[in-house]
Amino acid sequence: MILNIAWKNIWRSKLRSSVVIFAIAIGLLAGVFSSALMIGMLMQRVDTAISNEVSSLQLHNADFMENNEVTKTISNSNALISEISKDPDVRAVSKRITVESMVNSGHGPLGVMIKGVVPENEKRVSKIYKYIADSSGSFFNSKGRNPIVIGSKLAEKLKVHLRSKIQIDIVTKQGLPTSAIFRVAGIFKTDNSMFDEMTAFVKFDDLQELIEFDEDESHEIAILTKNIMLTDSLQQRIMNKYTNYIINDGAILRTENLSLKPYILSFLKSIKSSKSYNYKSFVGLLDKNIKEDDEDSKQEILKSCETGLNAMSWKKLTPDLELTTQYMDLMLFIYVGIILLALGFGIVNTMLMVVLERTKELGMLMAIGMNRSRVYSMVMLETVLLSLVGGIVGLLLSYIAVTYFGNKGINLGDFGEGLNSIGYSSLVFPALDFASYVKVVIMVIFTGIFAALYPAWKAISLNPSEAIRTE
Amino acid sequence: MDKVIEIKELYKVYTETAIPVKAINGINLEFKSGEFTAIVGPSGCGKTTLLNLIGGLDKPSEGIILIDGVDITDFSMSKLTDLRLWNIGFVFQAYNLIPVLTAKENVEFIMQLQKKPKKEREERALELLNAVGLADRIDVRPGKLSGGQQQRVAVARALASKPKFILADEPTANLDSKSTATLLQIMQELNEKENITFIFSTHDKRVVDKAKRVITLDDGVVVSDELGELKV
Ligand SMILES: Nc1ncnc2c1ncn2[C@@H]1O[C@H](COP(=O)(O)OP(=O)(O)O)[C@@H](O)[C@H]1O
Ligand SMILES: [Mg+2]
Repeated sequence: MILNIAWKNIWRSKLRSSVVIFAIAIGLLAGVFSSALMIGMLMQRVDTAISNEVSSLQLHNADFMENNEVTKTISNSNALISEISKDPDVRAVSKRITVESMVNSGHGPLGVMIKGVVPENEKRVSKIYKYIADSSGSFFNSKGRNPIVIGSKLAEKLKVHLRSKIQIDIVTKQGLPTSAIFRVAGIFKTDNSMFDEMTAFVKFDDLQELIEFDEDESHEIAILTKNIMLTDSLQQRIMNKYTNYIINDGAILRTENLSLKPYILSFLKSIKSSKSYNYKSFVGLLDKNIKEDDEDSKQEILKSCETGLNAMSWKKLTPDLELTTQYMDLMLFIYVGIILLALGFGIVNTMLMVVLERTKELGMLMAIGMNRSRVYSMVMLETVLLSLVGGIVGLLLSYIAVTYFGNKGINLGDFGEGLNSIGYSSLVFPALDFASYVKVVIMVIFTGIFAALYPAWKAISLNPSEAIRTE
Repeated sequence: MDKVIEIKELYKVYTETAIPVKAINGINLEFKSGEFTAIVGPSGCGKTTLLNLIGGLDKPSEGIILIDGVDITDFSMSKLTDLRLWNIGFVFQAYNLIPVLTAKENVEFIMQLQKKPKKEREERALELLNAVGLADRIDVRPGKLSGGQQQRVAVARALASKPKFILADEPTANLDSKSTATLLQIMQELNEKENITFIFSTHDKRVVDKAKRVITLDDGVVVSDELGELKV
């Protein structure tokens, strides 16, 4: 009954209600669509970062992580790869040698990260080969000695073209400088111009020979899981098997630099030995002896005591992305929240006008026996329904816009060039999951409730005898 | 007959104004069940104030009001609301109806506040609208009804809660003479056939003539209280 009256009351002043509904709808469209745009951009960035640059999971020698020392290799790469390939969650595995080098073409020299890769395997863990235009060669399809695939930005800086020669200077495993001539076999251009300037690929065997590695040695094993969700559990499995933790003198020395709490330091010293723990048991040991609010210290200790293999997921490899994905929700909340806050004041104003206009009617209702809580909920319901109509219209518009541009993409044009330089694509596909729409509806309802508090209070503070007399 | 309303030494002073206004200045009255009473007097003599006090819409400055022998002057706000819902029917000069509801829904509304079952509500609403001669206007909203028809819906609504008495403050003030006559006739019939108690204020001579009892106020005091000729 009260719901019925509240609903019908909305349409008493069609123009005024339409203006409010329109304002809410447009406001939400703006907030939701811009959130979807940001979220779409981030998701694309995560996606391309995983498939072009970092893959789902990377394995390194735990000591390599400290300062990328050339000698800290994974010594049994091939056995490890065949082992990991058997895991049902794994889609592809590829080994790499990564080494800093100076490249020179007559222009230069420039510092570049050279990656030695096995082309067939690399194509399966990273999509970099797709970023080579037909006219710009290929990802090691052509024959010929010492091919190299470089980024377009690097090519530009070195002023080289397809089939140009480049000299590469590196340091061998033994620490001796060496150099070789490579010939440009492909030029890639991704959305990330920094990557395009800093990265070059050569064949694994060529680099292995140059750097004087054993056949079984590599720096990095990149793994692509069947989907992004499987990454964490695979990481756990690999660490349980291949990562060890030892609290020896070296580890204690490292932990002393971490500014840990005294009780943690003395605990670590007390268990110092050459005993090696696996991941599970070491985490268990730490959990038992370190208080929960020292979680950060735990992570630091894990890092310091790690030996054997280090497994790192995309979240750690691109921490900025991990952080931003965590803030996607917050972003929606802030965008839509600010807009709703502004709209809320408009709603308060409208409902105050409504209460003022209906003073006599409200007085009559109270006079004939409608109690305060019913009057209160009537005004409350009218406000919430009004907001909700606007909210639903707005979300419908947003849904249409997000779906349409989600398929078609929005070209951010000139503005996009700036985005490319920080690794974002200029063609953006806005995206928003269903849960976010639900969250916005809930936010709209709360806005309605908050906006109704004052007008509803105004309504029940009317004195019926005076309200009826009001002219 | 039972005394439904007893008023003893009633005073109402409005103090919010710069000079306090003594709207009711010592009134003693009794009303019995089945009365058809007009409260008359010039504008500003205290008719509305008196009806508001009896109806529990306002509190007296002094004195007591007994309804069915119960003093309502120290009732809480919510107790007064309940009293009005269950015991008193109201007809005001204007703005009686909820504009977004039809005639029938308006009559049903008060029974919904009383949480009466749907079937009973609908039957009684139809019966009452029929009694006030609006059987063919039940699904029409107030905006599409004439002033006289609106007041008749208000009477039907006031009756719907089965109140002990109906207070009507100048119910015909906005009506032409034909609608006034119709409304009065309906009220008279309800009073005679159903023994419904009506207490209404007016300053219309033609309305006063229909009353069984006429109470005249001036400056907040009763100046006369006489039984009119009974027109049976
Ligand atoms: N809320 C109020 N505040 C101050 N004075 C009031 C108020 N309501 C009524 N009055 C005064 O009380 C007196 C009686 O008013 P009222 O009961 O409305 O008379 P009537 O209905 O007979 O015209 C008038 O002088 C009026 O101005
Ligand atoms: Mg009056």
